[in-house]
Amino acid sequence: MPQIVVYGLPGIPLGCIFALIAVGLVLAYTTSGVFNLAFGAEAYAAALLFYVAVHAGWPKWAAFVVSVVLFGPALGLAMDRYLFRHIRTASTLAKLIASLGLLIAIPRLTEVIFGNAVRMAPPSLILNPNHIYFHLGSYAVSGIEISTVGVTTAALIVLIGLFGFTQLGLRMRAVVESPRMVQLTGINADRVSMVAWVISGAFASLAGVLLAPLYAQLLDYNFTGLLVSGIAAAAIGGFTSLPLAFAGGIGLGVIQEILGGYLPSGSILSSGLQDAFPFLVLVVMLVALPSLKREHETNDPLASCDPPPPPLASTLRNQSFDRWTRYASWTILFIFVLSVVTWIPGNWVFTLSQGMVFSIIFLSITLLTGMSGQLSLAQATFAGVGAFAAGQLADHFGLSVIAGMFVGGLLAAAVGIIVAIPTLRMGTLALALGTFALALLVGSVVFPYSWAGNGNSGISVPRPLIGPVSFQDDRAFFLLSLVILVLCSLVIIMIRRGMVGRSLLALRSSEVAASTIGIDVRRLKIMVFALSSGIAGIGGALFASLQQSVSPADFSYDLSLLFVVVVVTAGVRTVEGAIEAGIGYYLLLQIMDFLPARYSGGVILPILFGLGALSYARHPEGLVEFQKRVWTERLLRLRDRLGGTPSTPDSDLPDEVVIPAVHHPPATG
Amino acid sequence: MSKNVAVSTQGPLRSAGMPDPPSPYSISSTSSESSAPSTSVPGPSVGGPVEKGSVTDRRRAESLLVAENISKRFGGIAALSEMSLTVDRGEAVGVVGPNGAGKTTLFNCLLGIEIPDTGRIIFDGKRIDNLPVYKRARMGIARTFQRLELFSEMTVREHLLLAQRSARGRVSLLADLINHGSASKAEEELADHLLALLKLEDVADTAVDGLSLGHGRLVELGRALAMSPKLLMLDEPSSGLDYNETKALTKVLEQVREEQGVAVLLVEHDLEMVSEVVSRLYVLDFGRLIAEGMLDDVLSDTGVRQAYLGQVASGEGQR
Ligand SMILES: Nc1ncnc2c1ncn2[C@@H]1O[C@H](COP(=O)(O)OP(=O)(O)OP(=O)(O)O)[C@@H](O)[C@H]1O
Ligand SMILES: [Mg+2]
Repeated sequence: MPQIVVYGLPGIPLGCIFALIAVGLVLAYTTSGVFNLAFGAEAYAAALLFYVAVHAGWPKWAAFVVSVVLFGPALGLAMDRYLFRHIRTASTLAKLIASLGLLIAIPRLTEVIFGNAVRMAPPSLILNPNHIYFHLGSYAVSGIEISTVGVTTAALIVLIGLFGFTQLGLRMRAVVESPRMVQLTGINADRVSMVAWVISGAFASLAGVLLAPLYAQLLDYNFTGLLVSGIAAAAIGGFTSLPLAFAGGIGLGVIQEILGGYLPSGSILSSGLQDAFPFLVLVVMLVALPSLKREHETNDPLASCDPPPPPLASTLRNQSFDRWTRYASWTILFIFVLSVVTWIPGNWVFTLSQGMVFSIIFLSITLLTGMSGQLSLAQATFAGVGAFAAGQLADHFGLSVIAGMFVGGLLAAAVGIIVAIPTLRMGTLALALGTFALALLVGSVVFPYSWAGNGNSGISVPRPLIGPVSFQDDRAFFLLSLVILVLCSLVIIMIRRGMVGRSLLALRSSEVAASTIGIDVRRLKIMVFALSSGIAGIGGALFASLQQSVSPADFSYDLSLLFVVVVVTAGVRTVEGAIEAGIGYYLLLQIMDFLPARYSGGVILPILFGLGALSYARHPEGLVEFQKRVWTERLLRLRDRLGGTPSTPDSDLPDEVVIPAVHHPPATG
Repeated sequence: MSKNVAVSTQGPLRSAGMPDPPSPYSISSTSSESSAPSTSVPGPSVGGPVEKGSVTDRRRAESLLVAENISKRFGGIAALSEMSLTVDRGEAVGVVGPNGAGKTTLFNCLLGIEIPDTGRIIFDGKRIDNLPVYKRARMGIARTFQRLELFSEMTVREHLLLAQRSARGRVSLLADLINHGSASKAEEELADHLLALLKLEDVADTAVDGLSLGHGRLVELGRALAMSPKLLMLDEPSSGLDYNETKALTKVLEQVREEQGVAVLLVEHDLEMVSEVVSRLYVLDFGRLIAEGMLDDVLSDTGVRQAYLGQVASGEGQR
């Protein structure tokens, strides 16, 4: 048997799993326009359930029934019914963020439920995984390979049957074109998308259960990582073709294994390139795919039948509310700074500085997502670029960390531009997936090198020294971070109030209309993306200097996902939102440190913020921001009732109903 | 539909004498032959090859917009077939046709929102069919949308200021960082003037999200005018408006044309409004030009009346 076949054969089972993921993704995407990033989390949860059941002594078939036949479809059903169905007409961004919230929250939820024990040697579905059942030429075929290929084939046959003998396939295609149009012809679009989600959930759980035994340990990290291979396979099918997605999955698996066989083993390049291959495929597909250009949100000819979305709470200004919050925030800031430099203990000062440094990184998300409506899943990576650049420059050239910070920011901006130019043009989804790919690629191929992040040992970064003033002390460093945070905030605020901010607002409403008034949409987007990655880079460099030592693990891709979710929940539209997110998150993390590991901040906070992000479609200004407004208004109303002149029209509006802007003519004459 | 086609092949409109023909509007070969060919008009600076001394040449020199042979297919649908059209400086031209005739597609092709499959477009003496949308906009083409495309969360005044700035390509990060990108005196003045003209003063500082459709249409018109365009393209500006609002809009349009001398390309179902605004008319059906000529000639043509008005009436009934 030729060598290439020997290398390629083990790729088939792997490819089968990719194919299952790809098919599941495409099913959900075509019927509801949701690119379900939570797919990896679904797969992980099912695999965990299977593991737990088998270890509790259940027979495998019973564990299979519970995890794949019941749990997976039920989860898919629930996701459709309680979440995605309601946001089918929302923007791509809102859908992506919702699925991101689930991706973050579900694995941590399982940790709370089942504990965080180390789970070695996940069981296989059927057959003995390591037993060699027969030989294909010179290639020994093991149980796991047979079961994976067999089960995938069975799933495929079921799916083909479903499509062939019902009108499901046709209806799905119709639903993609226009859910409302389909409703008019008497088909229940909700039911079609429900069926798709149920099948998608079943595929996710199946993929999860099949995938688990390929790894020595059951870790959610592995499932998210593999998600990208599935996405790449789905991209081969243009995110719409099931057969192509399936074939793409198998092909990817095979080529990846062949690459692994021929590349020198053990080097960063080999393991890295093998990992990187799906991302390269994904990026190439993203750039080459014309179909992605037309996004779901612009496609529906009956879209105008929807009532307009409710106005944002953050746009409704109330002078007295503004004044109140301004007074309050200045006072709090003053007391805060005074406390830090005087009496707060050192470890809390460190935590606060950490919060502020992350606030800077989060501001990059405010600019990109909140102001320009784009989603990047690589902000932690850009922060890493800034951090390693500053560290290496200080180490090799003795460059001051402050200068290194700006060089790092510039470098991050440059990397940002390189990713943005090909993907931005293709729209929100492409940028999100492209940056996701970048994060994984840079994390596994670039950062480990000694000239970058230096693998697990990492690099050390000094504290800054400006002239005679040293920032070695934590309190001094706190003040430095405060200054940089204020400067970055000012830049964002100036942009928001200025014409670039208005242009971004215009862009977010209607790209076409924005370009017809002469806005160079592409240039504007690239500029904002570069600025955003630059700010993330500056924040990263500052973080490195605060920690005094950083490694690639500090900037891993899952952190980028978490960042988005945290900022979105706190408030992605405002500078305060980013600062609350940064300081709030790291403060809470520290406060919850005393809890048992299962309920610690590292577990509970991602759940809370992940679930909080689900409300993004409804409260784009952020849950925290929204609650803040509601409460301030209650206070104002209370004050009015206690005497004093009413500052708002006195109506008992429920909280969901926004109070009209001050310039509207009052409702009651 | 064969009746419609008959209109264009027989072409009774074109031979029907035009009241005062200063320039040959018709594109059909018969009318080109009948008009005297001009020879001494200097060729405009255009990128593409130009047949020197032809009628087309002269028209190009005079016209603000010349579109030739524009075709656009969407899959199996020919949304536009070999459509040609000219608009002179300061002239008001109408485009009418039943639903789905390709009027909006024509606008999109002219601005580069859709890339036509064939044909070329010359604006202000330059080929523009390879330019991106924003560059065409900066050259002086402004439009409104059939389905409102306002910028949510922005106030009316902000619309007017942003459009002025962006149409001149002057949106800059640096200006924002120095002085919030605040408007110059001239920009404020133009905005105030437009607000007064469109009677939008009361809602000037209201976010557009809460505005009525009538106000929304005016804001779109204002946003387009703030660009100080040479050509204003309006896509069914009266749709969704009641009789009085339409009247008011027509009046505003007249005022604007008087003041700024801007050329207008009007797509409209309301024939009353069309006849008040435009002097020349193109009739589209199924992406084909079925008639063109001076307003009265086209409207009085029985073929067009029956084909088009009949169509509109039934189309209106369905909506
Ligand atoms: N993006 C598109 N994709 C596919 N078909 C399209 C697209 N845009 C327009 N069409 C089709 O092209 C034809 C012309 O559409 P267009 O919107 O230009 O008509 P219209 O004259 O503006 O109609 P109306 O009076 O209803 O506005 C229609 O059949 C329409 O369905
Ligand atoms: Mg139209």
